[in-house]
Order: sequence, then structure tokens, then C-alpha cells
Amino acid sequence: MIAIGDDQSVDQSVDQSADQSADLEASEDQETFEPGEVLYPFLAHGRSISPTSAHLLFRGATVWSNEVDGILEDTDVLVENGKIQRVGQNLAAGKARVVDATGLHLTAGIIDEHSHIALDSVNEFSPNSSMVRMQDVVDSEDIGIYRNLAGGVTAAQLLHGSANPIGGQSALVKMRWGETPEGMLIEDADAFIKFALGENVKRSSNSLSTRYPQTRMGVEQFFVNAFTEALSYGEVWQAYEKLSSRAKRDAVRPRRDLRMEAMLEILNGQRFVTSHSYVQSEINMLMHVAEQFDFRINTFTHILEGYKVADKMAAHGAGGSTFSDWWAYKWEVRYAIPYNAALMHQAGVITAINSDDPEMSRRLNQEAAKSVRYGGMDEEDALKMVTLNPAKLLHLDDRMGSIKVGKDADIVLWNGHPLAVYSKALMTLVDGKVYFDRAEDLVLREQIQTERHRLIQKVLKTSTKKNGGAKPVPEKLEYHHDQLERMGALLETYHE
Amino acid sequence: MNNLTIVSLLGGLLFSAQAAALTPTPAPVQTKATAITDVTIHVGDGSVIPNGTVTFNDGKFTGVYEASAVPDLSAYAVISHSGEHLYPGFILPNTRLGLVEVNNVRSTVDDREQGRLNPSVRSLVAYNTDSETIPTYRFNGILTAQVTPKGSLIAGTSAIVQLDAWNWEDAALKADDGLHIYWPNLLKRKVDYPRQKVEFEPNDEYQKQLDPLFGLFAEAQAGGVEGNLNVAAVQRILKGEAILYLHVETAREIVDALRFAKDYVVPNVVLVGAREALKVKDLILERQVPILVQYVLGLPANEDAPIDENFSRPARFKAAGFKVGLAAKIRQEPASGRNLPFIAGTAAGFGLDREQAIAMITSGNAEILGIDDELGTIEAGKRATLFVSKGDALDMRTNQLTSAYIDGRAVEIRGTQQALFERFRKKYSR
Repeated sequence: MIAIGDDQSVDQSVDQSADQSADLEASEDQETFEPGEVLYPFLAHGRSISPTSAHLLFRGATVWSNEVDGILEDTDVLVENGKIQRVGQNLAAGKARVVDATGLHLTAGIIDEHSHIALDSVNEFSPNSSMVRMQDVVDSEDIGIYRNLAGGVTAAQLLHGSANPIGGQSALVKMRWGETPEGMLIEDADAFIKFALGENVKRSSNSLSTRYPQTRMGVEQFFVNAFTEALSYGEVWQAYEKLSSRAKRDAVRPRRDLRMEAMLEILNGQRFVTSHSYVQSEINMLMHVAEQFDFRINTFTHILEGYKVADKMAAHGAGGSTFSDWWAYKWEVRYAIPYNAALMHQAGVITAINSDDPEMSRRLNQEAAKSVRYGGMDEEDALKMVTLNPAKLLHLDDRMGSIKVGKDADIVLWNGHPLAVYSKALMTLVDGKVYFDRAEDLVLREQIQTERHRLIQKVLKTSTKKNGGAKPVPEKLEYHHDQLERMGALLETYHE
Repeated sequence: MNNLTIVSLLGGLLFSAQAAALTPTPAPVQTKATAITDVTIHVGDGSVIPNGTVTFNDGKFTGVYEASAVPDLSAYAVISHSGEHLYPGFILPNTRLGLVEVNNVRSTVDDREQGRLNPSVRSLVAYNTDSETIPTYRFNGILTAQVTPKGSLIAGTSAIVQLDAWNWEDAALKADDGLHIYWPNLLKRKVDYPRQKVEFEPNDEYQKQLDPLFGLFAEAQAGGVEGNLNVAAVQRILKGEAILYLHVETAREIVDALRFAKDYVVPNVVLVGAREALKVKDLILERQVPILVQYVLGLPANEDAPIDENFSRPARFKAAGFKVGLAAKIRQEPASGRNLPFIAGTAAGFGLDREQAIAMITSGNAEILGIDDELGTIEAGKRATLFVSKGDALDMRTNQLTSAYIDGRAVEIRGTQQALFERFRKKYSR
């Protein structure tokens, strides 16, 4: 946890510290071994005790219910056993701890439909990587989780990258900071998979690439071929399964193909597609491919030209999860406009705003607010684009996305209007557990400073010129689109 | 249908498609004295005049009045913006606006010249006034920008432009206003892709990378050979005719960069970035060197750092007594630069007074860029570069421009993106 340049006064020369450490080495033998505290997760901003299910009464909040009741003034919300137990006025506290929420706003937790935080890796390279599972690479020790909580994010879809027409299977997680990777996965969630279209899959940034497809024409053929193959695979297995047990003994059992199995799950309605997409032609194309094989695209993500075919998307039944105002970073987003979300919403598409970025995910409330600025969206509808609507797109709206009795207590308490640029999350609950508390965060900062100091002293004691001194600890590579674009040229991996 | 008809039909189609994609026509010069009344005036220096009146003529402010002191306005075109908010045009420093159209289409990128010593390279001549990005900046209240080249070591000179012009010549407010040095890093950042890690190791070439810089400045100081373009460009900095911008982030690099500036007695120095400035607070206060804060919407330096490290940096720098301006610099620049007001708003959510946040992107940036005699506040004698918003312009919920003026010219606020919105809004309303 040694950061570069930190805590080193500029005047202090390296030689000096080396001398000091030589002096201190002598006394080290006498020092008793005192381990530091075990934290969950084991890094800065971890806790020695994991939060437990809270019994809380938020008193007198402005509650953005996301239900027919709309915004409820001066309202109480009771949380117990991980669920929202009651919503109303003058609720009896009983044994619950009362949080005075007068003048504060309470909303459902933010759900990021498109995220790459908390992953050990993001992109496989096979054009059809449907067998790859993001749940196998969930990294529960990514500081991004805590930073997301601080921005009111309670759940996310961790997606494969967009290097390939058919990417890997998604992991749907809650921001359970301190739990294991398995513990972060959302129980009984539907299965999702990433598709991708356009510049990334046709390798536009890599002039040396010879991989198929190289055009949007080829992208269509790739999908049609992959589904045709999957159907044949299914038929082979069906024929085998139909054999009598006697005949099976003499037959060669077909080879199991995880890739084809994932494709068949899509065709059988057991796995749902989230497709990276930008321009209208390719959006239209993929809907036609899906209809040809008798299924529907669940969600188009990025979908920056969704506004041009929003009526077709609504008719097909596809949702759209988009950026608020990103554009012009590559050719296919040349005519991306910040009115996209408002227009898709107007045309009847279930619309969400996502991050695809470990920084912007911390302020998705601001990004949702941009649709008020661009397109005059109603404020409740704008907030739904980062709460209820992504819950719908991820088939989780029966338990998340609104302040309703019986739903998971995934709740954010804001110090002001949740769409205002000045507002910040004061408390974030996941399953009724307080995973983020801004007051506690200030205490954590002090503890981190103390721990840093302790560790630095230890390093100073043990590092000498001879052993090369203290080395900076490598940092985890953050996934964001710029970086992936640079990586793309090197590795043929791609995502944003 | 003969071929000629097809050709002319096609021609007509192409024309109409292009017409929709055209950027707005630059506004004509101000011909009539104008008064904007009944507005909340955010002066830009931290003060507010509720229910105020502003007058301007011949492109300059002629008066700023409280409600009780409004003079006879019979000679003015009076426009009431009752209940709305008036601001000086926001000023965006250190942007590649007009130099980059689409980031990953190389033929549209003109932000970085070959080589490490480019003091004579001028961004102004590459500034494309027809960039589709410019109207999107105006739409949020950004009316002035410092168009700045990128590079390693000496990237070139920037220019300050107003954002409604026929060509770069008309756009220029201040040509060649500053020289931009991108200071080398003491630590090399190495990305280990297979392990998904970022490794740091000492940059053994650090001094070697700096040598040409010291060499060139020494030559310029000594007089140099006549006709050496690089030397002449550096001499402008040594004489104080342009500002030296040092793009530098960490504490030890800041110390080295400021020592360099002191060695060559550079009169006007600005730090760009300087995220570790608080570690060398005394030095920065002693030198009175201003800082353009960047990456407010950025991630903390490491996992130990406070979650709001970047959000709160403008407030913390201000509290330390630094002279602070705000640059947008976030990912996807220059397309994302239109978010400058909301970046200031975010900083206001993390400890900065709201009027101070406004001041940071108006008078603060104007002072640092050396254009405060002309811009940055609503003040008689300054350029009438202003806008009116229905609500608080720092908040995306309420930033809704109703009018904008550059040098008194009523500029078009809407652009291609608004035209496309209208087109499809109508389509889905049918």
C-alpha cells in the first residue's frame, strides 16, 4: 500500500532514509511481532468487522419511491432483515435505530447496467467467446466497489469486453464490500451474455488486424453462422438423447461444447443478450438476426444512435442502456447526441444510463440528471434510468429498483436532491447492511493514515541500499475506455 | 427519369443533408445598445446582484446596476430575463477544442507535433472554427477557450479564442498566449497487460529527458543565434511576453519544474495539474504560482487515497491559499469539455462555495490566463461576453441557456445536436 511520492517530504533524500534504516535494523531483533488488524477486504477502506443486517428507521425523508406514489415528502422507511419492511408516516421505531432524515432524500440504490469494476480481466479474444464467464474473475478486493458505494451504487452487471461479436457471460453483483467473489453474486439472477457490434469487433483501430469480421456486413454473417451452428449442435444432441439406451451404448456420444451450449441457452430463452452497439444500421441488423432465430435482444448497451431507431427497438422489445453525453471519441459516435436517452424514453424504450467507467459510475445520479438538461426529461423518470430501469433490464425489478415494501433494502440516503450536482450519498445500504457511511468514511481515513505510517516505518526499517530499497506496489489496471482503446492496438482486446 | 434528373435529385438530397449538419453561422457585430434586466447577476468575482440589470454596447459592458439604480434605458434594446441568471462566459483553459474532431480518426487529429522541442509550434493556426464540438461548448455557457497543444516536453504555444468565429484569425483573442511544457515523470509507468497490473519504476532517463529543455533555455538566455525559431519562442517567455505553463503532477516534479523556472527567471509561470501541490504548499505560496486544477472528475491516486480526493481538490487548494483555476480535463477530451460548469458544480458539492466555484471558471481562469482586463467578470469596460440561464448554470438540472453573447454579439446557442433532437422528437411525436 505504498504510493508513489506520498508521505515523503521532498527535502528528505533517499540516502538519509537508508542511513536511518541501517540504524534501526539493529533494534529490530528485540521487537515483538505485532500483526495488524485483518480487514475485509484486506486493503484500505476495508473493515475489521463486516456490516450486519441493520434495523433502521429513516425518519422524515423525501422518498423517491419509483412507484405510483412518486415522491413522498416527510416519509419514514423501516429496514429490517435486509428488506424494506414499511414505508409511511410516523412509523413506530420499536427497537430500530432511528436515522433523522429530515431534509434528506432517500432513493433506491443505483444499478449500473454496464460496468467492468471488480474484475481480474475483461476481454477474451476468440470472436465467439460465449463460454467465458465473468463470475470466474470477480475481484472482490477492488477499491472500485467501495468508491461505487460512495456514489450510491448498490448493484451492477459486470460485463465482458467488446472485442468480439460474441463475448462472455455476465456476472450480476451487489456491492457487498468485504464479501468473497461468490458472495457478491446476486442470488438466482437471470443469465446474461455480452454481444458487440461495430468498430471494436471489426478491429477498426488496428490496421494490422486480419480477423473476421472486418465490416458490419461480416458481423451479421458471424451471428447468423454462430446461431446456425448452435442449432445443428442442438440437433445432434437431441438425436443422441432420443436413442434407446441400448443404441446409446453403440453410438458415439457427441462432444460437449460449452460455446454451443451458451448459444443454445440464448435460443432457448435461458440467457439474455446485452449488445454493445452504436450506429442505427447495426442495431437494426441485430434485431433482425434475433427475430430470424425467434428470440429478442434484451438490451442494447451504449446504443448511442438508438434515438434513430427507437421506435423499432420498442417494437422489438429491446431496452437501451446508454451514456448520457459521450460522443466524438470515435467515428461511430460522431452523431451521438445527449438527447438519446430522452428520445428512446419518449419512444417507449426502457432506458437506462450506465457507466462503463470506474470513475463515472460514482456519479451516475449526475449522468441521469443530464437528461433533464438535454431533452427536458421528468426528474422522476431521470432517476429511474439509474435505478428501476436497469433493474428491469437485468430482470431484478421484482426485488430492486424502488422503495417498496418487501424489496431488498438497497437504499441511498442523499444530502440533497438526488439529481443535483451538489449532492452526495451519505449512506448506502445493500441488503439492509450499511456498506457506506460518509461519517464512518472519515474515521476510515484516519485509520488508513495511521496504517500507512506504520507500514512505511516498517519498510524504512527493512529497506537498504543493498536490497534495493522499497519498491512501489503495482497498482491494478483500471478498465476504462481510453485505456482499452490503447490496449486494443497492442493486444486486439477492446471494450468501450 | 434520365441521368441528369437523378444527379440533380441526388445533389438536392446531399445538400439538405449537409445543411442539417452545418454549424451555426457566426453572429454579426453588435449594432444596438442592449440592456438585460431583472436577472440575478453572478458577477464572476464571487459576488451576486439579485434582480440586476446589465447594459452593453459596441461589444463592451457599459454598466452593471442594482434594481434601485437602473438608469434611463430608453436608448437600449431592453430584454427582460425575469427570474433567470446571468453569468460571464465560462472560460475553459487547456483544451484541444478545434484541434481534435474525432479522437481515434487520425486525419481529424492536430494536437501533437513530432519531436520534443516545439516552442515555436502554434495551435492557433490549426484551430478549426467549424468544429462540431464548439456549438456543444457554447450550449453550456463556455464562450472562451485556451486551445492548447499536447506533447512530451515542449509541446508548443496555445492561443485564447472566442467560440463564435468565421476563422481562426477572427477567433483569436490572444495569439500565442503561453508555452506548454509537459514535465517528464520521475517514475515510469509500465502496464503489464497479461497480469493486469500497472508497475512503477524509476525513470533513469529523467535528467536526460530534461537536458534539451535546459539547453534551449540557456541558449535563449544567452541570446542565441538569430533566426532560430525555437530560441525566439523561448525568449518571449523569458521576457514575460507569454506565460509558461508547466504541466506537472507530483511533488518532486513540481519542485524541479519550479526550480527550472527560477533558474531562468521566468516571470509568468502557471502550474497545470499539480495534484500533489499541497505537499509543497510553502514553495507554491512563496512563488505565488497559480494552479489550473484538472481531473476533478477523476479517480483518486491510489486505493489508500480518500474517495473524494479529486472532487475536493479545488476546495482544498483554495483553502491552502493557492490561486486556483479550473480546467475540464477529463476523459474523452475535447468532446467532454462541455462539462466544465458541472465540474465546477461538483467541486462546489465538495467544499467549495458556489459563487467561488463560478469565480474559478470565470475571473479565476481569466486572471491565470492573463485576460482578466478583458474577460472574467461582468464589469463596465470589459468584453460583453455573457450568457443567461433559466437556472443555476453549475447544475445540469437547471443549466438552460436562453441567450449568449460574445463581444455583444447574440450568438446561436443551438447546434447540430439540437437539430437532430428536434428531428427525432418530431418523428416520435407523429
